[in-house]
Amino acid sequence: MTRTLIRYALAAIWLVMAAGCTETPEPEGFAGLADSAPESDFHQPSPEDRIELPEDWGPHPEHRIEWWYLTANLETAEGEPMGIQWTQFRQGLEPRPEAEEPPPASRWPLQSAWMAHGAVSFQGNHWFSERFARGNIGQAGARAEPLQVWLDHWQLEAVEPGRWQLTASGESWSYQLELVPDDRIIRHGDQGFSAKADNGQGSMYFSLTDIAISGTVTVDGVGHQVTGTGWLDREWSSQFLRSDQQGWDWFALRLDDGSRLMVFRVGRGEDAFRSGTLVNADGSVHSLTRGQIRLAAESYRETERGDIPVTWRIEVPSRALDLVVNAPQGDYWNAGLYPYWESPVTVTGTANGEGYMELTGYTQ
Amino acid sequence: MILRAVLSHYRRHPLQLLALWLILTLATALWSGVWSLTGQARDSMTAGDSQLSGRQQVVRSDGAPVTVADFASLRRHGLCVFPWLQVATDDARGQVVGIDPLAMACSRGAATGSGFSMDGQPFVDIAEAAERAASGHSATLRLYVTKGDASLPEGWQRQGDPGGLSTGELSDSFLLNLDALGLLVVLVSALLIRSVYTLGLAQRRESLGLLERYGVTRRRLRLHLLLELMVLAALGVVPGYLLGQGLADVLAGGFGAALGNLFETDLLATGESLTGFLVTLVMMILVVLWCGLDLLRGNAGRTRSKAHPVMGAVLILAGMVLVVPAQSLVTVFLGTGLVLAGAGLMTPALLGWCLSPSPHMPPLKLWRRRELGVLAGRLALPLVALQLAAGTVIAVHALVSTFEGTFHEWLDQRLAGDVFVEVPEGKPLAPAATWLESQDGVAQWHPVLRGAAGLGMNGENRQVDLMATDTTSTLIRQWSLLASVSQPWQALADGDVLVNEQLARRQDLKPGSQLTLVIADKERVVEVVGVYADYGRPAGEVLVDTRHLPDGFVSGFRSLTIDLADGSGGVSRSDLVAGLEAAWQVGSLQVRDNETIHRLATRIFDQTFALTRSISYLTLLLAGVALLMTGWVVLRSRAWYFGLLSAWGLTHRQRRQTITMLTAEFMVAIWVAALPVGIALTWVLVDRINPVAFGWTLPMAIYPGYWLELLLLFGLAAVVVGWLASSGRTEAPVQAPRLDGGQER
Amino acid sequence: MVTSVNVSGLSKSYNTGSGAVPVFLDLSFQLAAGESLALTGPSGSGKSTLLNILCGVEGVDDGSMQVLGRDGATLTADQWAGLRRRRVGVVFQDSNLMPAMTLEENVKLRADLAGRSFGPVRDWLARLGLAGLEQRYPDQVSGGQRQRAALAMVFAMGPDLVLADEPTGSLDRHTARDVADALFHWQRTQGCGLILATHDLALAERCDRRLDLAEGGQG
Repeated sequence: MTRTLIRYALAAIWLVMAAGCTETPEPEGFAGLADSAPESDFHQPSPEDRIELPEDWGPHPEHRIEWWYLTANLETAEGEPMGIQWTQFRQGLEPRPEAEEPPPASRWPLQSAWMAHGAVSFQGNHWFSERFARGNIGQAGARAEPLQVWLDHWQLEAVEPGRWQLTASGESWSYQLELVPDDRIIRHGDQGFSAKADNGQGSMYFSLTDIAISGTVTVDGVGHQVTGTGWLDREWSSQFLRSDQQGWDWFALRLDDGSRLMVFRVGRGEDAFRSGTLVNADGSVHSLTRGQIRLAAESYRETERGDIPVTWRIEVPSRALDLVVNAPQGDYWNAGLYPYWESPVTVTGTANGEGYMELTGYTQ
Repeated sequence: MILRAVLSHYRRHPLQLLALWLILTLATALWSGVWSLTGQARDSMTAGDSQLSGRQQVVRSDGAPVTVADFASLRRHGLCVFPWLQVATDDARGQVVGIDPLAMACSRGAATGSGFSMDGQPFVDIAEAAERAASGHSATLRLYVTKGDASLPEGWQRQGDPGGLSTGELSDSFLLNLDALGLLVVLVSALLIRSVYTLGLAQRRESLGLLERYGVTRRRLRLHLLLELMVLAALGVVPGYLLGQGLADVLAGGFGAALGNLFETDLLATGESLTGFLVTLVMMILVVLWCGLDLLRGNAGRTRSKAHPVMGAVLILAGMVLVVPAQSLVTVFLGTGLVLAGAGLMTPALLGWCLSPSPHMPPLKLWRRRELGVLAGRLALPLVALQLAAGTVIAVHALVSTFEGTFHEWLDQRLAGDVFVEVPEGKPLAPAATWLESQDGVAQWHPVLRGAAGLGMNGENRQVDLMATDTTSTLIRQWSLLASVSQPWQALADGDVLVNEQLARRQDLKPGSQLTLVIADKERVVEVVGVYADYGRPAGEVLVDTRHLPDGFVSGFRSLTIDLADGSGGVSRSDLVAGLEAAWQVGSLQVRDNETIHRLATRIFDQTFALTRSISYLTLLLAGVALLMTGWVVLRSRAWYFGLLSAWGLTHRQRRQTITMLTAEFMVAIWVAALPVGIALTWVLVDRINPVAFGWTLPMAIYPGYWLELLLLFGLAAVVVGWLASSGRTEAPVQAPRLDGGQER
Repeated sequence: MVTSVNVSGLSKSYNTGSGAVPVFLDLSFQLAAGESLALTGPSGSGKSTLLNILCGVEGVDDGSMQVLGRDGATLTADQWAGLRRRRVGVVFQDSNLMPAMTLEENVKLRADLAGRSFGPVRDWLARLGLAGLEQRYPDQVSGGQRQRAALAMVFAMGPDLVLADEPTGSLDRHTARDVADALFHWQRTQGCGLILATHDLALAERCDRRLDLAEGGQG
């Protein structure tokens, strides 16, 4: 899915940056990072793979990349909409069999590196921070049961069964939120194997689409009580984006009629790879293939980094869906190492709703 | 067609084209090399500085060494700490520093973000360093935190960084001077380009005049010439830039690492290559325009004017008026620039005047003098360039030698003794003192206590740093003082004080001055009995004997400097540390091995000085090459007259001697002219720029031995040029030159 | 009769890319002391080359010559230089003077090299009509005055033989005659040998003898 690919790219670029190759002619000074193992050494997801829970909430050291990706549409006590994002990425530099113990922390191992992104979108403003850490020394990591995903003092943690806590903070923002996840796991694609291209590449991918959220978000020193709903993606793979695939657009929408829609597009134009998942109000899950999805940018917004399509038309004719997706006023660039657009959206059309949109490949 | 005719000159004189291109390329190389080197040095220094000033170590309250678990815990607490794993190596590097690139954002005080890269050695990924440590090399892990960051959780505390040796302002000053040098290099090379170009142009005047007579408009001709120059510059700028970068890389291979080593800091590769290139390009365009200006004005090759010496004198005067009382760096630089420009304008005329013959000279000597006058006129620009370059080299040599001497002396003072041990927090000195006194293997030792004192000056109370030590220690008494009363050490032991140079300058204190010293709320009037050099930092400092500290004094930082007995009688370092740990009943001590640091620092600075010297030698080389090229061209144009000497009966040897004597006199004249420039520059660098910028001076020294070396070099060049000019088949002059009105005198 | 120059069977050729090009073959002539000889012939006939040979600047392929009683074959380069310095004066068509020196200084230099005193320098200049111009530089006087100064230099050194290569070649007819007058007057009164290469037949006529190199160099 689109989002996967964004993250592939993020991870790839990040690796390069972390390795210090972009500006330093001699990367061997960072031998550990630069000598990353080839892709083929990592386990490749295939349609035969299955999602095992709760184990798959934890890390996958045999895989190259993975993330825990939360976006949420919240509302303040005054009724103003607010969006938040929390994401933690893991990048494997050297695969390790699941059963094997990691090297001792005293050796400062570099089998994997972690990156966390946090953002708040409120009143047309957007706050973003990112953090980095090496794995296996305790600074960053993830655990399946009870769930804990952390990097420095940012973390998502199950404080008791069915109740999680999320904490993160940046220079002029912070949030402390309580999350009550629904128990409906949506497995995308073929029982969790989500194809990313026509050649059979793909990732393992599942989501929680309805997480009840409440807590406090502070921006510029002002605290806001918030409530709302979040969407958590869990995904792992070993492949980076194919070089001929450029740009990706991802949408996760909660509609008023009780249905949930996730669609993504890899690449631009008619050849773009499209895929999605529709969850009906009754809970039935339908994988959507390329032919079933129509996706078109309707209007653009000029931003410092490039023109961004802020209005989209998404059609799934076979399901009688014809939606217009709109980003609110503002600039929602996550201006980290690899900038991308991440904004809350509202939905109108055959159904109303809200959700999140992630776009990459629009930088000038 | 016209272009072909314009360029036909170079078909006949391909060497001239090559020379012009070469000088453009070399000058570009020099610019880009110097730009890159000074830029690199400045960036790493800035980075190092900000970190030094704002960096503290985090240590465990229980005294145990920190581990990776401490790092992870502190990070989980939201503290921006970064690890620093120093591991000894067997190779020449002595040590590597393991860092975590993913955590280094904190070293810049930024909590988030990355995009960080480093300069290679001595930095390696911390995993690699840890691997070395695991294979048995001694290793120290430190955790650093930015000053002013949130308070530490229970179980950890902050501490200054005893492992770091701050050379602070001494290095700053050096860099500032390196900048000034860079500026000079640009100036000199611009002069060189222009001189080579205008000389070449003068030689083409006839063929260009012919074209003009054939009906090509002058305007068109100049446009073609300008175009030609721009194309050449464009062809020179890229290889020159690359050459300079390569040069900088080779030279800086150790430089970046050196500063990194010294400051134990990362070096930011600033990605300035584009800026560097653009700057080089802009400089080239400016110089080309400068050359082109003459073209457009149509007086190429004739730049001398009777007004120049007068203007030069005025500029020198104006510059001196600015420099001598200057209070700001800009004024000093501006004034120096004026003085140099004035010297440049005056020198050719001055040389001409000094070399003007007396009527009673033997005729052949008179001829030499007259020819010298011609050379001084025709080669005015390269002459001045070489004069400035040689002056620069002299100044840089003096500066570097001074820095070297000062630095070594300062190191010796600061790193006196073999071992430096930090007194653990809350432990009294007495047990260690008892233990040390009982050891035959300890030759001598003294405590150093640091704290604050008040200075009653003109009714106001000023806060200064206080250093207290046992001033009877021979290690302290080895210090050389900048100024002192006759028996300073005895007076010090009797209760008087020493002040550092910064404080002396700021408060106008001299040996014999009285001041009111307030320590722990107790006031006492003391006499300043001496002034010592203190290059590390800007703060004023007072040095007193520990015996005269009032009871209520609380020191901020305490250490012991210990000199071990030589040979078999000395205790080993590990025994010493173990003994002290036992005396204080602590688990670990902060110990600094002065010898290692001394060696490291010396090596690093030697490298840095070598680099600076090489820049100045490159400049001299460029100036020399330009002078050789232009000199050769000019001397070839005199071939007919040298031939006349043969026709008049001078033997081949006599002719060669005469011409070599001529070139030698010319070079010696430049050398003589360079001396005052060099001395003036040295004085400005040492005695003006430093006090204005930092509040202290370096001892001004001149090195006549080095001047002689330079003279030897100049003499060698003269012999080469003389040989070239007098060789070849010039005995039978075949083509007489046209006489140019006014060109000969 | 004392011979100033005795040339016999002289041959000279230049090597060019396509082989040796003869300048003259088997040239013989004599010049008595106090005698003047005009070398005529078109450009390239070897006039300048012969003058160069006679003052030892160029060598020969074949033949023998004696200059002022010295055997050319046995003279070293330094001995030739000594001859030029004291006994053989050379005058070129132009640029005979050091441009950075005054007329007087030029003459002094030449006299000094020849080991003569400076005393009569001003006399020579005055006799050649250059009084008052002593402190002028070569580019501050006319071409004729420059050539006369060149003659003053030769006269000041007091040579036994003068080799002049188109000494009036770049002057107008009137000036040329003045310069030639001075040269011949001096040569006759001093009894010195003169070999003069010229295009100017009138000038050649004034010499005692004429050797036309175009005719095969038979004097």
